[in-house]
Amino acid sequence: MGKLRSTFVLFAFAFAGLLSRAGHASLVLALDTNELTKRADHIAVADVLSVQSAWDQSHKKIFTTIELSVVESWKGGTQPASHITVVQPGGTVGDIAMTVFGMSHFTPGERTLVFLRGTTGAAGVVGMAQGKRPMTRDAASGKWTVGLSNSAGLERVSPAGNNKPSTSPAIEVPRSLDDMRGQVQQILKAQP
Amino acid sequence: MPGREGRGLIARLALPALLATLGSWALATPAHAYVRYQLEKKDKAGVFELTGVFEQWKQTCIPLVVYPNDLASEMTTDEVVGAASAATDAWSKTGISGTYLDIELSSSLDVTPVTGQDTYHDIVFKNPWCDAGDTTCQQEALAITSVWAGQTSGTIIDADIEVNAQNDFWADLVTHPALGKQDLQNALTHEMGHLIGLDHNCYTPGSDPVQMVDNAGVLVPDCAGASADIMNDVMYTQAEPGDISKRTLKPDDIQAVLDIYPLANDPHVCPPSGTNVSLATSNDGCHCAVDGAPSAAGALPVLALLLGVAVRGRRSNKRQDARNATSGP
Repeated sequence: MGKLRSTFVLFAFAFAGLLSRAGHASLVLALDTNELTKRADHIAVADVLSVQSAWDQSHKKIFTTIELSVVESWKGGTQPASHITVVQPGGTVGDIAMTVFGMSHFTPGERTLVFLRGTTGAAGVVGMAQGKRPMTRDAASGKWTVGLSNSAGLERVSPAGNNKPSTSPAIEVPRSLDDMRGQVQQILKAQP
Repeated sequence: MPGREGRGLIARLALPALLATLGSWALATPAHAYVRYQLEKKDKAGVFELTGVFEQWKQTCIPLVVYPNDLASEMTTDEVVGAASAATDAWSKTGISGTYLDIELSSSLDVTPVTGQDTYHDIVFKNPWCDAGDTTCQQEALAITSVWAGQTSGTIIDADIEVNAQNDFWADLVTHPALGKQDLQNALTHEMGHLIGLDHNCYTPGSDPVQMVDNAGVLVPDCAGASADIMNDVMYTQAEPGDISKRTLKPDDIQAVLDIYPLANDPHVCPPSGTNVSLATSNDGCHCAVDGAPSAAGALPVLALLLGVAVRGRRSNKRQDARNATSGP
C-alpha cells in the first residue's frame, strides 16, 4: 500500500508540476480573451499587408510598422478593407537588429486576429504578443481557426494588488473563428 | 476502492509506466542543452527566416549600470542593487569558473536615463511606465529586455533591461516572502540570460513561429512536456508563482556560458561604459563545443531520486558608481 501511495503521490507531484507553471520571459500581465477585449480599442481579423522597420528620430530605438487590411471588425468600427497601422518596438534596419523579447511577429500575407490599443493610424498590440492570434485555414472545410498567441517570449503573471498567488488565468486554446467571434461579441455585450 | 489484487496490479503497472516516462524524457534530453538567440531576416517575399547568426558579445567586460531610484517605494536601494549584482555575478566569471565573461555592474542614483542604442547598457526602473499617449509602450509589461546586435556578425552592441516600477510587483522574496509579488533577482537572472544572447530552451507548438534547435542541433522540446532538467533551467520559458529557483544557474545555463564565452577565447577587450562597440564582420566569435548524441546522463540523478521515492515511499526533500558617479546611501 505504501508503494502504491508513494507512486501515485509521485505521479501527482510530477503532473501538478507540469500543469501548474504559469506562463515566462519579458514579464507581462496575463490577459485572457475577456481582458484583451476590454482593454482593446480595436479588435479585428486582418491581413498583414506590409512590415517595415526604421530608427526613431533620436536613432536610439528601432520601431516596426505593420500595415493591416481589415477583413472584419469586432470592436472599433473599422470598415472591411480599411487599414490599421500598428507600430511596435523592435526590428531590423540595415545591419542592426533590435530584439525585444515578447513582441509579436507579423509576416506579410498572414491573416491574424488582433487586439489593438490606440487609433487606426497608430495602434499597438495589447499585452505584447498576447494580443496577436495567428489564424489558419483548413484546406478541406475552408474554415478558419484562431491559434494561440506566441507566448514564448513572455512570462505571464496575474495583476498586482490582489494579494493572491500569480496563477495563470484561463489558458487560451485554439478555436474556430466562429466560436472566437461569438465569445468576443458576448464579452462586448456584457460591457457597460 | 480497488481490492488488494487490484491495488497490486495498479502498483505493478504504475511503476514501469513511471520509469518509461522518465526514461523517455531522459533519453530525449541532450546533456547540457541550451539555445542561443538566432537572428532573423526577411526573405524576398517578406517572410522572416533564421539567419544562422547568433547574438553574442565580443568583448570581455560588459559594463552595466543599474538605476534603483524609481523602485524606492517597493525595495531599498541595497536590495535592488543586491538583486542586480547577484544576477550579473551568476552569469559572470565571478560565478562561473572557466568563462571570461565579466558583467561589471555599477549603480547610479542619477535620474533614470532614457534607454536605447546609445553605448550604455542599463537596468532601469520606470515610474510612470508609459508616457501618456504612447501607443508603442507595452502597458501590460513588467520587464522588457532589448538587445541591439549586428545582423551579419551577431555582435551585440547594446542591451537594456527596463522594469515596470509603477505596479507594486517587486520584492526580495527570500527576505520578504509576499504573495502576488515577483522576486526581482529571479526575474533579472532570467533577463540577464537574454542579455548575453540566450533564448528559451523549449517551444510552444501552435504558438512559436519556429521550433529552434539547441546547441547539439536537436529540436528543442515542447515546453509543456520538457524534461525536469529543462524546466529547471534559468532559460526555461515558464516559472512558478513566487519562483526563486531561477536565481541559481543550472548545468545547462552554465554550459552555455562556458561554450559561448570560454576563458581560452578571452578577447581581452574591456571597453568602459559609453564606448562605441564596433561591429565585427564575421561570426567567428563563438567556438562552441557541441555535445554529441543525446544522453541520459544529465537526468540520471533525477531518475534515481524519483525511483527511490517511488519504491521506498520516502521523500527527499560591483561595484558602486559609474556613469556620472554618484554613491548610494
